[in-house]
Amino acid sequence: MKRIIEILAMLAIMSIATSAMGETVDEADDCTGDQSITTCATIEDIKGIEVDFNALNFKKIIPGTESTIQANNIFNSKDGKPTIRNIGNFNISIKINATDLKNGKEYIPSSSLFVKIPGLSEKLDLGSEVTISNLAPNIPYPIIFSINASLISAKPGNYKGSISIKI
Amino acid sequence: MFEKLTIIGTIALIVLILSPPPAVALGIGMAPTEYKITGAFRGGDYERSITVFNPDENANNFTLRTDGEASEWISFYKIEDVNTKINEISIDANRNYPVLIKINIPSDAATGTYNATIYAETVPGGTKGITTGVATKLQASTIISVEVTGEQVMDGVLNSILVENTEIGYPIRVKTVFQNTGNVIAKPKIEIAVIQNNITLNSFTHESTKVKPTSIEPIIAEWNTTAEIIPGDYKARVNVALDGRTLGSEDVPFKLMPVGTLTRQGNLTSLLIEGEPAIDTVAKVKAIFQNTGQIETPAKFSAEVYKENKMIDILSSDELTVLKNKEIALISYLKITSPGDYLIKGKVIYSGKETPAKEYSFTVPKSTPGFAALYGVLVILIIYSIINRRNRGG
Repeated sequence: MKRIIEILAMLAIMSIATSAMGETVDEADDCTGDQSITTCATIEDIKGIEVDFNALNFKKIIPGTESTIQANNIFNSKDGKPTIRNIGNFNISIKINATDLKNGKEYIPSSSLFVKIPGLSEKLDLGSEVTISNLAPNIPYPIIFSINASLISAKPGNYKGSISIKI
Repeated sequence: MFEKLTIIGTIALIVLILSPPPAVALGIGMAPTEYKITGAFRGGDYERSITVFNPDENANNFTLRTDGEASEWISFYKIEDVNTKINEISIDANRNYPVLIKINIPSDAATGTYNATIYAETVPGGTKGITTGVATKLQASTIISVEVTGEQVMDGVLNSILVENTEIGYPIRVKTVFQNTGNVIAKPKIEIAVIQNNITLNSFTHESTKVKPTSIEPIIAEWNTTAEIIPGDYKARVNVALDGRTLGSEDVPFKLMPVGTLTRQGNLTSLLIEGEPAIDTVAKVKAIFQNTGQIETPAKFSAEVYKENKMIDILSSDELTVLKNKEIALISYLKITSPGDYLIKGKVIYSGKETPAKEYSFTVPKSTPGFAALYGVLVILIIYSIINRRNRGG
């Protein structure tokens, strides 16, 4: 709770900082191409996102099985269970995409990776960019990632890639 | 002395073990989400600001980039240093960072609405310690919309239209030479209908080429022929318009011929290495191929690498399409691991043919010890000196 208050306070400072560059004005009223440093931000106009992981480790993948990284809705629980939180002040959609996981010339296609936010989405295949909508502000959501090894024909080894979460 | 060091080391180890794991949270915030600049004048400079927020408990780096039609007009600066462009910012934990955005509208931008998206991205964390997994990157964006107004002269001249004969399975290229006589960038609209025996077989439009004021540019519009199209005489009905006004219209005859009718010919005109080849570097091998045939051709460079008369490697470039009367650089890479005399013997393979082989020889000198080697020697000398002193003391 304390952390959420801290973030909200920072967001408030952030909007003040933006508006402090000039007078905060109604976009429709006065943002008409003047050549001074004047912003047209409104105080509602803030979006942000936070996750409590910077990498996802599937560890050992056993062929023919699905490996899942369990998630929870406790932000920064420090138990390796991913959580995502909208730190802005309006509902947002997130877009997630993944690269193939590579090990030299061998690779696991990104279509073997899946993501799900219970209550907001089904299990979605990351072979192409997916969109999950309606993340409400300041609610921590569990975000579950899995990899389906039954689809994999790659040789044994360590495979690494990246995911992007966009707002 | 040794005992003291042992105690300090043990304490450091205990502190390390008892410390909680480092926070791994990653976050990004951005404001505002949208900017609209209305009534902007061409040639004008506009300034706005965005704020990027790092909600993490650690300092993080964020990269800034733009995308979209107006992306080249936008650059980023620190608020406190409005003369130095930035593309990456470092934000302390739980802090925000205002970034000055300068929008420079080109003096030849045509009237209209131009969009761009500004992205702030976290720099992806490493995957050290991960067996199989993914690094995470977060991205936030702000959309900028610029409405350019003001008086403009949108005008141009159609100089010529040319349609080259080609073969079935190859694209038809309609070349329109357009001269921009206005004072803003022009995007002429070229409408083409492919006609045989007064029957329109296909029609397509090209409107994406930008021509700067006073420039004369050839604009190429393409249509891929299909196997159903039969060889014969055709005509292209070409209409060129600008800003809703027709500049010219013409019926241009051309022939579609069976595959293999037109000659394929080409030369490997030069073979060279860019820069000075050195040990533990990758040399960029550049083969210039010139298409002197009557039709476009795929071309690929292939070579053998010899060192002291012994073949040590083979090189191969990507296969690229070379248009008629054009030349192209086919690039391949050679990893150099040892000094010596090298010889590259290569040829270009195109349309089932090969050019005569060309050779390029070069010498890689022995490397001189760098700072790393000197540093290594210095460390060994220091260790030797300490051991020597301890032995004398003992």
